[in-house]
Amino acid sequence: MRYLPLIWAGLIRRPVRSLLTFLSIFVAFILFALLGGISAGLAHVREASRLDMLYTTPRFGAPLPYAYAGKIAAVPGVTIAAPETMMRGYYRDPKNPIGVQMVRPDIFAAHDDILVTKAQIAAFAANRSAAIVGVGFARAYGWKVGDKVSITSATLSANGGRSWTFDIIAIAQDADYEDLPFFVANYDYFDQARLTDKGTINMVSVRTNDPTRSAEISRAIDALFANSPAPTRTISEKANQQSSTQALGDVDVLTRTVSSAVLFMLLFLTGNTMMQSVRERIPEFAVMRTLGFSDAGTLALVFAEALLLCALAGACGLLAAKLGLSLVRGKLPIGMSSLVVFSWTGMAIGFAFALAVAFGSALIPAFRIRRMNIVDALAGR
Amino acid sequence: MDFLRQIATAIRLGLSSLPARFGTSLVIVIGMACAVGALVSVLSLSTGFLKAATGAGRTDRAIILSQGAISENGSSLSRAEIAAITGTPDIRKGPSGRQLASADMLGTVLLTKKTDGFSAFVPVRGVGPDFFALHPEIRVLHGRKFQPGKYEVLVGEAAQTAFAGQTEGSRIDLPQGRWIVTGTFKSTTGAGESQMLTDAPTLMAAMRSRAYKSMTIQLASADRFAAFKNALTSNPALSVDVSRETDYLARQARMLNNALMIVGYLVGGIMGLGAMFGALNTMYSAVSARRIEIATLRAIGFGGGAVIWSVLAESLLLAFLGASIGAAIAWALFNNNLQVLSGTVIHLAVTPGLAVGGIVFACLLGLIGGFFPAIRAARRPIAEALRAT
Repeated sequence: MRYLPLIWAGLIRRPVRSLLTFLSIFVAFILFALLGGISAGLAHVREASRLDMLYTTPRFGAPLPYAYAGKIAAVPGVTIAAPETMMRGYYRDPKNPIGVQMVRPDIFAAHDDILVTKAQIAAFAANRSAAIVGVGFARAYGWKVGDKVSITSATLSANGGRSWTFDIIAIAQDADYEDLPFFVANYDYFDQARLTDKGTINMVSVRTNDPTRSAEISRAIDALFANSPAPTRTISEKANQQSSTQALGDVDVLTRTVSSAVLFMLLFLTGNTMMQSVRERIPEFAVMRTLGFSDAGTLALVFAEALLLCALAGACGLLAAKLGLSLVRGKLPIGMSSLVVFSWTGMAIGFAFALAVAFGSALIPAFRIRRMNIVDALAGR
Repeated sequence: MDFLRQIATAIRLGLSSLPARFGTSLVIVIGMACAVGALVSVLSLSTGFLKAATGAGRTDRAIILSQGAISENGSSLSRAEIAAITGTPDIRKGPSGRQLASADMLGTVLLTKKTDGFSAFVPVRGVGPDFFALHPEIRVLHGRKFQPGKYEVLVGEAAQTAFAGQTEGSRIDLPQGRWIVTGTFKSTTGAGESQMLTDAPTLMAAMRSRAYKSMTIQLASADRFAAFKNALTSNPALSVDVSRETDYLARQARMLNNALMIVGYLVGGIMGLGAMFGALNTMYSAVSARRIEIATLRAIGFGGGAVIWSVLAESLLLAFLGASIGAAIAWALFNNNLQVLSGTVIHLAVTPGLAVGGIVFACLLGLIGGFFPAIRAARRPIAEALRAT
């Protein structure tokens, strides 16, 4: 602590240079935090997806008969098989697409990660036009419990219209994703009212009693319908997540590549600043050595200077990213904000990288000081 | 003229001492290379995706979906509606004497990616007899077309490179059994090759569907769109939405493309900012190293403008060099790199436009990085600079 003023004096010797270096590190760590946040968000999706949750969907795109749900429920190992169908539509403007999941109340048993109370489920079952919406949609469109909401769809209803009205009876949160957008309504109401594809479903959510047997149970379900007119494809939530995050263009690889480019750029930039600063002060260091500073002491001074600069700028950048995201969180596109996760562990890793940059950038200047000959340095040679 | 000669001399003088400042100058080159490399790589995903998703669109073709449908998946058109649409004027007649139109059916097929072994759903498009006349950009590359009534498919070249088991003669799991691949098609636009093509009535029978998904027609000319749309929407027997093919494809791609662009600009912008601070640093130290030389120039009559230009030229040159290296690295690493993005096979595209855009961006940053140090160099009192050692 005694040497802090000395370290600080080294930094503000050239205030513009230190400030510019500080700013480069600062913005680089904002980016670093964002990229880390995206990586962590994807990792969270992978962790939150379950192996004992299976989805049965049409193999070729044609809808499945409703009776499939009952047949799947009878497969050994299956505890719940909840059918649903998707009504594609939009709210007010085609720019706000919404897939309304038409479900039976048993879906909440299969998806216990959707946080609803028994009373809400009972109210959902009792009201034909009831809907439960996710926080993401409610926030984006300003919906409140008790609102009547019209969704326009290509699906014709028996009364000839393309507008479907729902009563929002609850706004629910997902245990794993803060603002997951979803919109569920009653299948029975929808199926009676629609004109085409009556008695069909798009998906069955299947819960099993043994995660280790999920592949085997998936095969057993698909085997049931293999030779029927509507074959199925069953996949666990986990496997599906793996293939779809992979399909997102290897985001992880991309963020890692960009992160390493950022680090490389920083290392070089900070290293250059330290190099210049030390080169200019060679005579000063010689004076300090003459005054009795040890070899290790002067080296430590150079490292401490780099550390102070990087730690300060890095920490500010990381915190600014965290703060900035919490400010814009409400304005991001629906469902986007739960994709970026800023954990303190992630911050700590980022900070460790800042320290590593400091160490790396001080290495060559420190080496130079070690090789310094006091007499030559004092003479300015 | 004299002023121009002064600038040229000052620039030449400045650049001749550049090797002495090699280490510091490298900061600009490496900073810009990293920033432009990152920007161009991320955006190449977006250009590749746009090319694959919207490249096939033409303004003189229109696509018809059922009213309220956002995409083909949510749409359904009955045979009666198809007949009513075909009877509308403003559709061009083809060589067969029939209207150039194709009523399409869509199914999905589960394929295995060659790269990682994961499976992905890929569209199978059932098309009408005039599909190939309607889409002159699509031609058969190997093998032959599918025959109506037979379980046969033609696969796109992009799908063939990305997914396993797509060669001529292979059999693919589709409704009602294993369909045979009769050949490969290619589109001169490079778009729409992620799908398989087959005969619409055959696919509908196999999927037990009575309704089509969409219809695409060739307009008599691009400016007849409004009249055609009006004829359909005012027909009481029809309740459909009509879009130009270009508009429809752009709308389908918009959401994903916007997300990709935001990420690209965010990453590139932040790194660019960091590189700009680095450039400022470098140029400040450059004018400080050249201070005696600059003061001498001014003492013998060079104007402040010439000094400013010589500093700007140096930072511009370094930024240009770095950006070119960055764009070249991005091109070498990612151009034509194959990805499957939400069911579309895309080739990442580092286009000349994208590379030039990245280089211009870096040059702008380089200009800012040189500007303030240049002003400082030009304003410095000559006597003071000469006296300093």
